Amino acid sequence: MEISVEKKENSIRFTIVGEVDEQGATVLKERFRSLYTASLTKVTFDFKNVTHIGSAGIGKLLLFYKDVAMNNGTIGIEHIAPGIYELFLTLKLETVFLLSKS
Amino acid sequence: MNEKVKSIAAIMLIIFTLSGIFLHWGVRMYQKNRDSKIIETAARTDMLIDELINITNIIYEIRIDNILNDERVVEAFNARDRDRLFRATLPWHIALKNENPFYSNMHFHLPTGRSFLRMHQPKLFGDDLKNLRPMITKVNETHGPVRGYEIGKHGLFYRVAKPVFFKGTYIGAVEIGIQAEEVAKNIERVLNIQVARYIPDYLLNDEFRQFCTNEIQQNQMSINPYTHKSLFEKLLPAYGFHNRSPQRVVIKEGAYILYSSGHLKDFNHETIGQFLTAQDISKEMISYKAFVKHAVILTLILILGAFVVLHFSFGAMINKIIELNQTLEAKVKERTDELKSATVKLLYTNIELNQIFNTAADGMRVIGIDYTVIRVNDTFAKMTGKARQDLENRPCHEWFKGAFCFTQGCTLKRILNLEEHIEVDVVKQLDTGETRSFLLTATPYKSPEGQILGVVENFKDITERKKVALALSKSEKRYRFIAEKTADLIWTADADLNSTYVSPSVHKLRGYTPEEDMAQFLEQKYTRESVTRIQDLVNDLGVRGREGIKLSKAPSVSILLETIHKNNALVPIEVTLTPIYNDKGELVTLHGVSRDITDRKKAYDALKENEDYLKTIMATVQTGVIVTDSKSPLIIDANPYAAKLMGCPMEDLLKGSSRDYFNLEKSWIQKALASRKKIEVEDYELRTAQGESLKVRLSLATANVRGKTYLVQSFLDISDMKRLLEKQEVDIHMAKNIMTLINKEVPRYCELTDHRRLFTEAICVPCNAEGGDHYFVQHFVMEDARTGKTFVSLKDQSGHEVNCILRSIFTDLLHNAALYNPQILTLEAMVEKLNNELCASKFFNEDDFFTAIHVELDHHTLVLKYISAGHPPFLLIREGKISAYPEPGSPANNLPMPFLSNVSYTAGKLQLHDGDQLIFYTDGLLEMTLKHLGHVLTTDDLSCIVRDIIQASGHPGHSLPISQIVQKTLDHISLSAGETIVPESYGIKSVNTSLDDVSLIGVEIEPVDRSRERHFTPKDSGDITRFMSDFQVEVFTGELGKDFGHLEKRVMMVLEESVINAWKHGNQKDPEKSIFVRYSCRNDFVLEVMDQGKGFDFQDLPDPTLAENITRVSGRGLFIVHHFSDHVQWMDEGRHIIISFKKRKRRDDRKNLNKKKDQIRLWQC
Repeated sequence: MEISVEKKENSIRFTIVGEVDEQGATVLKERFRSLYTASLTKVTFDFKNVTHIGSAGIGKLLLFYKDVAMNNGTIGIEHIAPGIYELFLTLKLETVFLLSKS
Repeated sequence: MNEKVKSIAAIMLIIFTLSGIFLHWGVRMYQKNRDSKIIETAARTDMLIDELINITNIIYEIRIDNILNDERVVEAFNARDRDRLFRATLPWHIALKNENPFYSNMHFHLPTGRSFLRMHQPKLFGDDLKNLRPMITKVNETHGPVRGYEIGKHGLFYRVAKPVFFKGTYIGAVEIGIQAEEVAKNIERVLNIQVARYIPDYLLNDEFRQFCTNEIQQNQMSINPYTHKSLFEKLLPAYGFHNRSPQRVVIKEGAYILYSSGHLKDFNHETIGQFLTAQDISKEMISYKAFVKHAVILTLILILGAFVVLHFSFGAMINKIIELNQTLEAKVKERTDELKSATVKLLYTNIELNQIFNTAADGMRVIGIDYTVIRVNDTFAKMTGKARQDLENRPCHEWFKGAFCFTQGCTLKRILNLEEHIEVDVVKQLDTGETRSFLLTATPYKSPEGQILGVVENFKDITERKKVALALSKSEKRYRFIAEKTADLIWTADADLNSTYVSPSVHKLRGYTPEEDMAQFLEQKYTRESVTRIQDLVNDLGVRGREGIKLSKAPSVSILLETIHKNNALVPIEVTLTPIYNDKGELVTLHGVSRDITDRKKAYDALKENEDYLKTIMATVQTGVIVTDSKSPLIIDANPYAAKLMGCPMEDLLKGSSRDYFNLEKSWIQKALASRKKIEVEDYELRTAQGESLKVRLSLATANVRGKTYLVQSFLDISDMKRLLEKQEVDIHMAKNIMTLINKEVPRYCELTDHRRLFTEAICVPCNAEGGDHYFVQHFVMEDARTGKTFVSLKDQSGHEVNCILRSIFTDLLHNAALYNPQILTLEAMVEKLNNELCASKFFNEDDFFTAIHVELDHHTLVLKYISAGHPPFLLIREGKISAYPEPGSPANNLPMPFLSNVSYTAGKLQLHDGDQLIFYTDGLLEMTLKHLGHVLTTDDLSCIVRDIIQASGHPGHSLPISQIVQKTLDHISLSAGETIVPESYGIKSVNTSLDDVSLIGVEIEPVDRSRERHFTPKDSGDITRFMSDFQVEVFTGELGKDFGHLEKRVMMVLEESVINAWKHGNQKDPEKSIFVRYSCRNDFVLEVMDQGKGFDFQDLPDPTLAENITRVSGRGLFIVHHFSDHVQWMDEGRHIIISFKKRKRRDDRKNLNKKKDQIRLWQC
């Protein structure tokens, strides 16, 4: 799994490529830790090239969500593949993240 | 102000505006550049703080490691020799003090949580810090290092604590503390800024508040300004802690940018404080002001220069332009005055013409040669009912269209053909729909040069004249007809009613000749009552004549009388009298016409009688009837029940429209009118006056009365009927749910002994909402697996109604109760008990019974016991051979149930082997062919079909899985029978077009293939990723991929979650423990994952979709496993999970993935 980050003022955009499995989730967590989250008000994940995400990856997204939400920030996930989108809906994550399909 | 000044002023204004815009843009760019530098400094500060904390961590971990590598220190600590420990550690302590002025303390702790030695306060020890120092408590619990910020008595400290081991045994912890000020001072040194530290008030303890006197309290924050107290005391009141973005604060000493940076996290990674950074931007502000000042001066110089250039260079040119302009304006004024004078003259002429044009009594309009109306007068506008502006400049045929439009008779065309005067009668239809006649006179509209510009039309309204002429013509015709054809008696009399003339038809009316009639008195001609009435009428006519009151409309009056026939019969007549007066108004003559109305009176009486009859029916019938005109929805008549149904008084109903209550489709009305037949509409919805809807059966018919067509609409209230039907439907669904509750869903697999498992596939397709077929498969898995048993019962209950379902529920309730009875019964005893209980109950009538096949399988011996209660034989498939059981004449063939009480039931026995397959079914399968093919299948036919299916599959012997055999068998028979049989699947309702319920249960004993077992011992998540990748290649790229490729995504997702669950929660990430993964793929794809942990309570998993769990960072793995698989089973106290996936494809939409929750465990209670 690869992550690229673009930061602009109070917003940040992650572009993730590959599978967010247990190992990918660990990478994701480390990347989140290295960020200064206090000023972030808008976080976007581009899932265009994400083929799979497991419960560990979802857990890390929620961990990050807690930091961002503390500062009234929002997290949006874009270009989600249909299978992952269904999984997110099944887990009712649309109540936490702003989801949009590919 | 002259023109020159104005022009220069305008140009200067433009130059001034443009200069202002450029100046503003320049200042904005400067500001933006300055702000970006500030934000960059803030980001660098943040990064620097994180780096400094990391460096501090590394340095002091190394320092502690160095200290603990000193054997004298560890030995002294292990010996609990405080003095020796102090001496051994002192050089390290002094070195650290010299190295870092912010080094605060070194502290040794015992595993009990008590302080052992404070290097900075060696005389203070032995105090219990278990509750005060959670960081040390954590080291004592985990025996691992921790680090992070901690609020101490004397402020905020960064602490690093590490466990101390002596020969592998944990003997306590040592920590080093550094003041948080170190980081602040380092930042100040590198970035030339001032830094303070702040902590939320609620985190502080009493000791902190007592000892830390350098703190400033602001906005519920405790701020340590370090050496910049006077500066931050002035800055802080203007800083909002709620907004963490950079804020500018200006004080007397200068301008500053304040922002929060760095997260000071405790050992749990929770942020407990931050640094507040003050960046002096006074220089930037001075530089900014200087920039603005210079820009303004430069702009003003530019404007002044522009003014001088304009004044001296463009002055002469502007003067010339002004001179030319003045000459031009004088000429324009001269021409304008001339034009005004001509316009006034023209206006007067036009007013005069308009007055003439508009006061004309006839309608007039002028039409141009392009057929556009140029002008109309007021009379014309009035004729058409339009405003003049709506008529003018519009095509002439748009309004007031006539028969000559678009023909050669068009007046404009004729004028253009050089006719000079046209007179023609025209009929025009007005916008109101009224038709009027006009005399149209048309003349050419010419220019002064004689050129034809159009036509002038004059319309004289001659409608009334035409009507009079027509009426006169009709009247003449009618009177002539009466005179020639009438059979009525015509007579004349004087004012005293003495006859002066009687027509010959008197003979027909009264039986007398005209002479005889004339000779009679009134009393001989009419009944007494009639004489009085005619005399009163004639007196009244005489009075009217004298008083000059003429009959307003008709000159005649009619009266009903009875005349006396020669044969003494009374003949009803209608007499029409026309009085003739002289010039003085005296009545002189009466002209009378007497008509026999005997038939009419009879018809009237009969009609009245019918009307009374109809009214009685309409008043009493319990069906609503309303009558409307066929062309209008207005209600003409209605009966009282209609008013009751509509929920309004009859008076209101008769004032209303049928559309207030229902909307008839036009096609129904057209059909009723065309066919003259009654149209019936079921389930029609009627709205009452209260807005409620009512289900009715609507009938629509037409009735012709006196040449007029009426629509008769009757409606019968069927809402009660509907409610009853719906109630019945609800009961069926409720019964179905109860049935599922009792019998539970059939588990796909059950573990047998000796590495075998039992697979079951059940298909039950009712032909109605719910049918008479019902079944259960109950597995009894005991602690000692060898005593486990499986019971299968398939019953075919007669009937399909609710009562049938209720009897099925009752039967299976009793059957399950017998199964779960602690007193273990043999299969025969259980069936006998069930039969006797059913016979004793009053739920079954004499003709209510069911057939059944009852089966018991021993999990260890594989002995199958079976009892057929009048049921079709089941099939055993073994090594390609098919046999039916029980065989004809076998004692295992028993009576249906409940037939006779106290009857013995005998069981048959079969020894099953690995790979044996069984098919149980109901007669609905065999009788499916009856409807279209006219015959019923026999058991032999069924055996042949199954054999053909096995052979056609290309897998000789028994290798075609039973799930495919039962599905293919059902497909084959339903196809040849011309029926559609589709089982319920993933929320899609079942379809069964045959006459009976169809049920099949397939059972197979599957040997567990242990060759497909893998195990690995993961050290980290990378090992799991590698295992997953290898597994995917092994399973889905080979031969298996063809049959199970569509399951790949689901299987891999479920496998990942199961393996991670086993590693994290089962093995607790112990690198010595292994994970076992096994898979098989025969009927279903079965995945097994086993760990070596302590097991867990798999029946109490939290639901991650509940509101309180949605943001939890863990707890979704097993939910995903359940969601994406078809069946999950736990064994070995939660250490072994068995997950199965059905082979056939399912629709992957969200709705269908929502499977049924497990049923209530009714029988395990």
